Amino acid sequence: MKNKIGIIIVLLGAMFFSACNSLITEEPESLLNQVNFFTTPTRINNGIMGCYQGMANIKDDEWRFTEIRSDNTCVASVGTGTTDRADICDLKFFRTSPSQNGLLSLWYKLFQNISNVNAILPYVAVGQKYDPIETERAQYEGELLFIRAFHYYTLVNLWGDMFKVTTVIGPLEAKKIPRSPSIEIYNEIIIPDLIKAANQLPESYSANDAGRITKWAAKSLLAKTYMMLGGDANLTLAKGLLQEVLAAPQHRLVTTSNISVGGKLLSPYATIFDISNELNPEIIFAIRYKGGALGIGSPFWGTFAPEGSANLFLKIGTPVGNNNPTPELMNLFNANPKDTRADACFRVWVKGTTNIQYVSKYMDATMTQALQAENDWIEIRYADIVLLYAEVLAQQNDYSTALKEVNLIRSRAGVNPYISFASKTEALDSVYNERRLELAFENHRWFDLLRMGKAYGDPDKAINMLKTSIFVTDWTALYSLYSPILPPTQNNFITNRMLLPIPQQEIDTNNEMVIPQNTSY
Amino acid sequence: MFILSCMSTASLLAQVKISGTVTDRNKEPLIGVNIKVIDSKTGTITDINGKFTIAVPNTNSVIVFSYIGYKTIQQPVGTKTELYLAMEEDSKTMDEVVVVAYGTQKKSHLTGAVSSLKNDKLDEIPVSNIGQALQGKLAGVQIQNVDPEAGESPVIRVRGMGSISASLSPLVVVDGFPIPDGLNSLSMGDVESIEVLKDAASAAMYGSRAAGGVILVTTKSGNITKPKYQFKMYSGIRKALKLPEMMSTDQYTQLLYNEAAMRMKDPSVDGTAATMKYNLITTSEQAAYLIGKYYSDQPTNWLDEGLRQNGSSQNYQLSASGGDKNTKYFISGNYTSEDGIMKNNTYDKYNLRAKVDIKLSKAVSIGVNITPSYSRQEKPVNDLTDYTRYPSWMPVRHNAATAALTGKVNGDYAQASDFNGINMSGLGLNGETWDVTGVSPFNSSNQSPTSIRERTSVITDDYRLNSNTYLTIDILPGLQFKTANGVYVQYKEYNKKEQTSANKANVPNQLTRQTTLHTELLSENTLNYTKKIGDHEIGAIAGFTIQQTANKFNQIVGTGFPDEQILSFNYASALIMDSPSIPGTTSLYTSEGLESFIGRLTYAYKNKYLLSGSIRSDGSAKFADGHKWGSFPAGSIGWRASEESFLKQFEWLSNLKLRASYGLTGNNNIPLNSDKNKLNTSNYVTGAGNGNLIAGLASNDAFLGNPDITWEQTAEGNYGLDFGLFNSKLNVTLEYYNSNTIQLLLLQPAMYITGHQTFWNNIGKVNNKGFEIELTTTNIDAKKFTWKTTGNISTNKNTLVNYGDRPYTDNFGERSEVYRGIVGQPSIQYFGYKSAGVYTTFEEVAAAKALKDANGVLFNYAKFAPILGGLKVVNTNGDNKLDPSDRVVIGKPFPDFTYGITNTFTFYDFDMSFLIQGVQGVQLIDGNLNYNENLRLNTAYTNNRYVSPMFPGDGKTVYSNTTSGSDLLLTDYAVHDGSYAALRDFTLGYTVPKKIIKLLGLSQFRGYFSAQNLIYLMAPGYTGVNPEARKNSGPYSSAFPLVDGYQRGVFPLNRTFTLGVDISF
Repeated sequence: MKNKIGIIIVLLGAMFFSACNSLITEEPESLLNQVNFFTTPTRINNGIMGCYQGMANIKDDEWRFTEIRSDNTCVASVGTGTTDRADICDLKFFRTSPSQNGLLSLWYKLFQNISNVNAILPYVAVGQKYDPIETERAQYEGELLFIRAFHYYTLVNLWGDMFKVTTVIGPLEAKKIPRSPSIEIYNEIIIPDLIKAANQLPESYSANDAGRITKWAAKSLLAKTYMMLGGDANLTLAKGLLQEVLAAPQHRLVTTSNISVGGKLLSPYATIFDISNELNPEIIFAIRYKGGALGIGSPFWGTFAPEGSANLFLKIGTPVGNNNPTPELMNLFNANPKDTRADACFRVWVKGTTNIQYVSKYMDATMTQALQAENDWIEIRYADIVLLYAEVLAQQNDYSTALKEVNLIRSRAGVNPYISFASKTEALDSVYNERRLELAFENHRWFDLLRMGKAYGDPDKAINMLKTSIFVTDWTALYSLYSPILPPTQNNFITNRMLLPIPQQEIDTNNEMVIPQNTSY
Repeated sequence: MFILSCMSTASLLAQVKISGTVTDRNKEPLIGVNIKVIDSKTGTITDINGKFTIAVPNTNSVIVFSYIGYKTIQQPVGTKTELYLAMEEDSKTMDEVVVVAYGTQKKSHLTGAVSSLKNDKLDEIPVSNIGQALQGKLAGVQIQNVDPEAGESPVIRVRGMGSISASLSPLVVVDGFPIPDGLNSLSMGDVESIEVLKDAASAAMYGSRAAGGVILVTTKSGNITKPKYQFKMYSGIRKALKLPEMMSTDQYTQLLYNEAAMRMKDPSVDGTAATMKYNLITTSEQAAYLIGKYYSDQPTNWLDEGLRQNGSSQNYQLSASGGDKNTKYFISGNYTSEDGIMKNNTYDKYNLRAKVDIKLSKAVSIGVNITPSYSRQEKPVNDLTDYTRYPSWMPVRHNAATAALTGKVNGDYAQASDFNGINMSGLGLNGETWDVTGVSPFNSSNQSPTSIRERTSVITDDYRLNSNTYLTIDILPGLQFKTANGVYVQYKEYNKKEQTSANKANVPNQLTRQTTLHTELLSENTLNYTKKIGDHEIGAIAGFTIQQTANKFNQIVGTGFPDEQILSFNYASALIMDSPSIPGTTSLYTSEGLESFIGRLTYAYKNKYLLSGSIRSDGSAKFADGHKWGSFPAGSIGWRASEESFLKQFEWLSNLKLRASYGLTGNNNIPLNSDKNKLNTSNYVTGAGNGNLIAGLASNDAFLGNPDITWEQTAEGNYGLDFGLFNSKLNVTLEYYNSNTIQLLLLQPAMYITGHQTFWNNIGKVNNKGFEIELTTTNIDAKKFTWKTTGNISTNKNTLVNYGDRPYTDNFGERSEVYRGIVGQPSIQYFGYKSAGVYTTFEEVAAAKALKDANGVLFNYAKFAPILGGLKVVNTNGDNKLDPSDRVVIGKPFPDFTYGITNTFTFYDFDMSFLIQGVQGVQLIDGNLNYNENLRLNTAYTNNRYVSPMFPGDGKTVYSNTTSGSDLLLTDYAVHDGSYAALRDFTLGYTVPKKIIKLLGLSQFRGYFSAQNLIYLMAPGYTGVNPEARKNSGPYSSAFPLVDGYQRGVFPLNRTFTLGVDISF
């Protein structure tokens, strides 16, 4: 009897100990993590694709802070009461608070993607474990550096002095990083990263990889960076880069059309944005979306289609009706009835007795899922470069060449060319005006306004334009209707407030040191 | 030698054979009663009929009858050869055995805080979840039915809120096996008893998972009897206790006109009809009235669209049990069915249980316990708000008139958007013609609730199998080895079928299937030693356990099915991929292990001085190397003062015990891989043309990995006093506890520049302290009439002692309402603006508008414009500026105290019991205030509202929130007292006398009537229909413990009436 019991106990013990190996150390099968992960070319490529998608996440929010705050767009039904609308109105009226809805979200998405870039960069550095094909490594590194520079460009332009984050950081480390002067961000991150990217990236890709960041995209962004910094030396640098991009064999101004919709031939301008014509030669860099049930579709058509129009224009989902063109901008388009860009940029829906204007540039008639449209978001295109080049020329007093460049764009749009530019102001006015029409609703206007101070030699140039737009041009037609809810807050329109406030939560979270808020907030 | 043999011969010769029967006072036979003859080795026990035979030496012999829980009887034999004895229960010496961690203990030797409940008619309470039946019956255990839907489980908290980030639910251990959501799978009819280990010292043996308390469930076992069958059933109806009172469109328009008439009388309203100063009716409201009056056939009662007239409850339980010396069995089957008072809300549950214990030899015993169960729950897809916000003019389906008006098809579902931009004219309520053009009488892009409900189905099937075995081997006297091995498998399948346009117009049909396979493998191996040497009693236990938990979750979302009835993935035209904005096809496979060592030592001296110490060490997969292991020691002492000779003399004192304990428990209930930055899907598009999807990965998780995290620990001291008076007619247990949860697993905000939002950290401290009183009295104990009372009351004070180095933490609900935890105060308090009634005079408004701050600047009215009939928001800090610095604490979700009192009466063969249960001093946030439609049509919000300076209503009710300019939800206007007192359970039963049922061959026949919530008192000022309900999804889900107390769209409380029978044979 005793023996049997002994045998049972020994057997049980053996079973038990053989079962318990590594139960508390194994990794869960479907939870990947960053630690020692990016060790093969495939994984690195997956990580880089993740960073590309990160840019798309950012675009979903960005229009609030670039188009709405500019004189290009507004909210059609101001003050209808929903929290989101009220917050968009706060942006429009420069009442942005550090706790602004959406502010933290954009901030977060920018740094999220910077963190993702930083997590992969060490694995593609020269001399690291991953070094099989130098061209591939160089391309990967170039793409990552471009993405990081691109985000820092947005960050310093929207918020000014910025936290320098170039490695993956932990919770405590993050509280020790102060805001660095924006010039330091330019000199230590944006410019060197873009120079490296421009050197390492290819001019074009195979059909499978089409749409990835090219040398031309890097040079374009670098040119924009120099122009934002301003000054003769930087303008010269920018000019050289722009000339290179303009001469790129892969890109040109699209001036013909072979796309018809409903039996009607589209204007050449409209073909640039047509979903059947993605990655056309005009496109230097686009952030890409794909419709359907893949979860990587473009949200813009659903967000911009007019509220209350149900499925009149938007095939599926609820039209949100945000980001509507301002009357001022529509008048600017309508001033020239021949301008083919108007129809491609916006439409008017007559709802009962009211006219509701909406952005139609991102229309997709083939949507099958709410907020999942096909349209790519065009970030840099040839016309943008042409006009940037004209802007540099105008600043350098080369009015005749500037005129030629501006007229290239005008004639494509079907608008009469300018005869001549008599002065710098006229040249600049014409260039900026043309940029506004040509690039309407593509999130360029805000950055144009930011460059104006230096271009005109008047720091308050932009803010005065914004004030005129709201309180003079559009006041009666639009905002006065809502004045009981939106009292005039002209006092908020000061140049310092062109920068957004640092999100309050970010300031509050840091209990190690005091993070200075931007002035005037 | 001779003498000895002589004596034995003599005794043999003189033997007297005695036979007889032993019963209890109810003449029920007692089985296994020990029978011994004094001064002799002769002894026996009674058989299953209570009968015995014994040989005694002579007529002078004395026979001793003893039985646990009964008074021992010494019976001289005398001349009788047949004895009939009825044994009396002995409350004083009755030493109940209670179940504790890894074993049992004599109640008298207990040194921790353990609440124990026997299943005495608990299974007659018509609830489908055991937790609900326990409400109000255990001190220190707060049970809340946060969702009255059929098949939903209650929220259970033991002694307040220890952790503030990691999970707070108590660990449920069924027959020794920890089972996730164990209470859901059980049937009350199978339960023998429930013990709650409340203090850390009692729970520490479950170490790592015990910080939320431990609930031990012991299921019924077979006894040594001939086969015994029991059939129990009940069946009844349930009704809504209270419904919101909604106005029809007609009534509402009438209200507007009545108010217009009042304004006309008010000289201070200097309006004309043209400027609408008198009549605040809008063209949309005119259109609504006209459609209701001239187009819809009859007003739609949207509440009737969502609710049934009657729900129902049914339960059937059949069991067979019995056994002999070596084998005992208990086998049962149970079927429970509930139809909630909401349409499309049903719950059906089938349980089986087979429990067999076998003694293989003198030293070896084995047992198996197998419990398969299946349940199906259909959930309503809308909440109540969806029904109450809809106006009565909206028809459910178009009739000829509305079809013509809107250009829709007669008989189709009518949708709010169908009526957008209509033009019409008709005779208005005031006798004038109303022309409306291009108005939208009801703005909603959602489909109507009935069309959503009828085109959507949400069904969850749950299959569970809990199966475990044990083997015990008695190695030496007092030393036993036990190995218990078990497996728990749960397969859960959730199917949501949405037909085309179910939720919103033109959205294609969709099927969402979520499957979860949850498995737990557990092996527990212990050595148990007990020894009694003179006055010393020693118990020791040592062992190791190993547990593996695996979760396999899959979600598939398919769309584009050819037909509304063919929602099967093989016919889907596309699968939807998962993305942050749209839930799609995804899967999550995780597994984690837990290895533990346990040990416990108990010691009792003379049954008076009690000592116990235990330790458990746990290693967890959730923490990085070097942080995996945690140790959880505990110790406790007790003194049974009533056993001391100087107290024994007091007859009235039947029991007096003092206890103290201190222990440590842990918590690791945080998501796996919280120590690392996770990688998520982040796909992108490349390639010419429209491109192709390319797999991408990015760390887009909100969580920043923190490799330094480790166990959260709760240290709790418990001080208890038990006393019984007057032969235990009055028994009282008092407990005081003070627990500190340290190195909290706290989700802290990360700097967003890290690319993440939060990280887990061990920081901060929460204190919980409270009193509990449990009381049992036998008020009347006559032969034909008894009255017993058991009651409990408990308080818990929760304090956030330290929150890292921050003075407070803010958490947000769905409408950005703030739940603030302030250091030195409770962990959750509502934080918002104070109000002081509504503005009722022009002067008040003008004065408010004229206020300037210290710099002479008029304050910004962005959210709180002073307006007549609007909320007067208080500038609490006196700076004449209404801004976030004016927010103050305006309520808390923690009650001051909770209580339950059960009275039980028996009168001849009748019995009656009722439970009064309540919660006092808790506040709620009323989220319905955020829905204008609700606010307009619900009389709870419009009665006595402000109309004009002359007719200010009660001065407290706002005219409407759209005109007040205030977000009511962020003010104390939305905070209500959520206290309640309920006649929770009421049972009236009749047991047919033995004599009669014997004739039918039965051993018991009982019938009863039971009711729940017969009387229900809600606090004055409470505007809702169910003070117990809480929203528990989204930001209110258990993943966010610091957000609590919010109500919106909750379904009404249920009042149930059932009839039941209980038959044994």
